[in-house]
Amino acid sequence: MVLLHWTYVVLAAVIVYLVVRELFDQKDWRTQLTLALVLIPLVLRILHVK
Amino acid sequence: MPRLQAHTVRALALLVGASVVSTVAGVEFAQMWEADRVLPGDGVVRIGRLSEYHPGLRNTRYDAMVYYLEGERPGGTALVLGGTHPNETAGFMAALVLVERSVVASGRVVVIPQACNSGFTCTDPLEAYPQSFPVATASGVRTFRYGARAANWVDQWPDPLVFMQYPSNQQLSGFETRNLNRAYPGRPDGTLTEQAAFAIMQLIRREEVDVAIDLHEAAPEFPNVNAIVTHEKGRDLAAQAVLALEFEDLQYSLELSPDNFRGLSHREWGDRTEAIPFLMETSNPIQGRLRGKTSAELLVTGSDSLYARAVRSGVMRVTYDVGGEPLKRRVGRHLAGILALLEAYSATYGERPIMLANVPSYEEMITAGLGAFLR
Amino acid sequence: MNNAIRLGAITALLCSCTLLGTAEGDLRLKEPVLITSAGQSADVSMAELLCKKAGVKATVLPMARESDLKEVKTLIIVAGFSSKGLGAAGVSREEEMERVQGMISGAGKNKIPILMMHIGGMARRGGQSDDFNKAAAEAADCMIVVKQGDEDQLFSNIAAQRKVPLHLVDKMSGAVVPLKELFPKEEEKK
Repeated sequence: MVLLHWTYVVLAAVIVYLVVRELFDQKDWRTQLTLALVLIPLVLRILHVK
Repeated sequence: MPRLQAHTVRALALLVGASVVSTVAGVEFAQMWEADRVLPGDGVVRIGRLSEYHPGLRNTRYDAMVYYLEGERPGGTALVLGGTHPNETAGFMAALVLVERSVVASGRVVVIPQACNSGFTCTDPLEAYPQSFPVATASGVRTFRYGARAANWVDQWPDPLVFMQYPSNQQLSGFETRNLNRAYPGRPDGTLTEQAAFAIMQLIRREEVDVAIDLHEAAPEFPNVNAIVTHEKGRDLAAQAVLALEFEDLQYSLELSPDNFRGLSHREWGDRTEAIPFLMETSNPIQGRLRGKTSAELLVTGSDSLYARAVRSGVMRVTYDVGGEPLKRRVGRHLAGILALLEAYSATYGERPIMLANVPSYEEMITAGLGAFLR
Repeated sequence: MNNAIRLGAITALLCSCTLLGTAEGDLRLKEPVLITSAGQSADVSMAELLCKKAGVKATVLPMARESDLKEVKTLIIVAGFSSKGLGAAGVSREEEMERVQGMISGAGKNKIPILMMHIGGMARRGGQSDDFNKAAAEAADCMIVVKQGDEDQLFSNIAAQRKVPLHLVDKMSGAVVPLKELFPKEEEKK
């Protein structure tokens, strides 16, 4: 149970890394904005806030 | 120094923006982590925690407070659970009135006002629920949290696609894994929700609980509101209570706990312990699908124009008074139900009476309001 | 001759007076009593308690079948639907309706009077309950109904059409009075 939980946290962290990388690679501002928005719930979940 | 490209600058700015939004949102969400203030009355002889019955809950948000009220005369033991579903406020508030107000004349009453303690630290997403609601009391306005239906995701994540109820293996929707009222009897090495359920079962056994009452609410369109659900062991007591409540002009329907729906308090407590379990439901418009604006005001006043329209249209079957279903009425009903069940028990099992005193009557609750009975 | 006419008139008047009493006053039911449900609501438990308070000994079988009618002198059908009850009984609506119709038919074959009780008020009215309510009411020899459940006169109309007695009570607890009247004890009959 605990292992699965932290596996998901690590997965979320990996996705955050990929999203941030894409944020800096993208040139279209709309896509960048979407990526920035997507980051918010992921970060809050990794930090165990929400 | 190489000049930064426009999209890189934009990315940095958006990253900063996302950080600010996360911080602001995070601070707001974290406000719900602060425990509600409970001011135990003279009837409380001891305060404990669920972890006394299962140490695995220690230092987790599932470790709910437990209040022990004891009378001078010996008798039986009752358990009253509020906050099994933290978004069902009348249950929490009725249990709180018992802790802050009542005294026990005979026997013992164990009260857990916020049984799913984790669920009080968040709200359900996409429902626009308020995080808290106010109650005016003699000591000023007190604010209490309005929680989610189940435990906080951050305490138990991820949800499975399908929840396999232990030990029945009944399959339910994945989010039910965090629903305390599907987790009984629980297990000591299961999910935290199952561990909390296990702790409550242990409490029932160790404290030799005779009568166990689980307080709930439901949407007005739910078919079983204003009802007492009883295990077959409690059929006669519940029937007596319903008749007695009728004399107070309080209508309750009687429902039998289905033995093929596992995991619920009124089934598992009755099957696996000596306790006689009951579950009570009142009508809470903020939980309904027809509701208009969702706000703390709706939670407290229970007044919704769309539900009133539904009732007047005559085409829908909803349990809703066009004047509203205020919190004080719902709490009053729960308290009246608890008293009626305990009286029926005491009349039947005279050698183990459980008698509460200083509990406001339904009429007193309606007249004076909830705040008059909180410290 | 005038005396004979006078005597005849008085006799006719006395006979008509006995008929003036409502039909409620005529029906007398006997034990053993079987209580069953039409719709599987927990109101059967309430009916059992009310019978106890009225001094009526009854056996409760929410899922009674025709074979359970042996030696029964009165069948009480407690009408009202409960989804929890149906689920607990493990039957579908159709199966429950079939069972209820079987009980009604069995009571008819064995000339067992049926007392229908509808004591759940508005909670046991509406789309899902009314099929069972109507089935029980249209077979009943007598009805006890809590007024709140008859606001649209469903039971009153059926009782009037079928000319069967209907006892309307304000509350569930009020059902004890007509139950005592319908099941008089030996010492009361004398």
